[in-house]
Amino acid sequence: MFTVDNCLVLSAVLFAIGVFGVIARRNLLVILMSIEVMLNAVNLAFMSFARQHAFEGGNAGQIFVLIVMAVAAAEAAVGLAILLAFFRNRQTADADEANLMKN
Amino acid sequence: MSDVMFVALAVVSTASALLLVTRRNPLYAALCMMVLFGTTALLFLKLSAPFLAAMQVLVYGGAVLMLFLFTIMLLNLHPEELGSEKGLTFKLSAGILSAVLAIFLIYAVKFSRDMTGGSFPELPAGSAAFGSAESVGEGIFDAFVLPFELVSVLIVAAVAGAIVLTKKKL
Repeated sequence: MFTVDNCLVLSAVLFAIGVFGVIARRNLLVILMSIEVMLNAVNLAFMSFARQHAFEGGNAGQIFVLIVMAVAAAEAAVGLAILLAFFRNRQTADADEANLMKN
Repeated sequence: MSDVMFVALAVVSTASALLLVTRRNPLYAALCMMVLFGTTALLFLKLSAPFLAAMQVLVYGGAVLMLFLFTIMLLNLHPEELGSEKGLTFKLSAGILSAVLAIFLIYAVKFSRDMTGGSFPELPAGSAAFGSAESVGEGIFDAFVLPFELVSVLIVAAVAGAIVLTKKKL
């Protein structure tokens, strides 16, 4: 059960759930959280491959995970700052209200 | 034992991710995200990477989750301010779309030629050559020193950008 395949399947399922959240929800906070879920799933896949190739690949996979974590933290900070600025202008967290550049 | 724990972690993480994308209140979604990050940290531990498990708890469970909770607190959305959700047909088609994506990914994993073999190689007992802070740090400051330094530039830019974006008068 605890095999490379199943770890990657779990990662794929989590990624698909994150994609569903980004497509189907309108609340910007939940959309940002779904992006974090997707990044988490990718980290899990990186980690599984790193563990699978522990003897020939060195630690590259783990360092990718660390860098993805740093990028995710930066993305969350900037995304939430944009959300706050948007909320201050429109008094809503609804992604469909962000239509300033439409038409 | 190892299999039972993996199945339990997989079930809990999938369930918390599903709850995360379906909860209407962002606060409950954030709490589900906490559970998901915890289970991911445990999975990293099972994949014999204790340093990354610690980083997962610190960065995701500590910093990112706190950022989300503080934003929820600052927005202070009332139930009537949460806005309308998309219609059922839209949600259904989004669900079908992501299910198809999941099926494709699982198919790619299960039937790719490099994936036969399956189980993880045994690490020599007592050695900390794979997931320890020492070995990861060696990689960061040796082969990957340039990306590591660039990440610090990225974080400085992100912090400056976040401060500028949240100023009252832009």
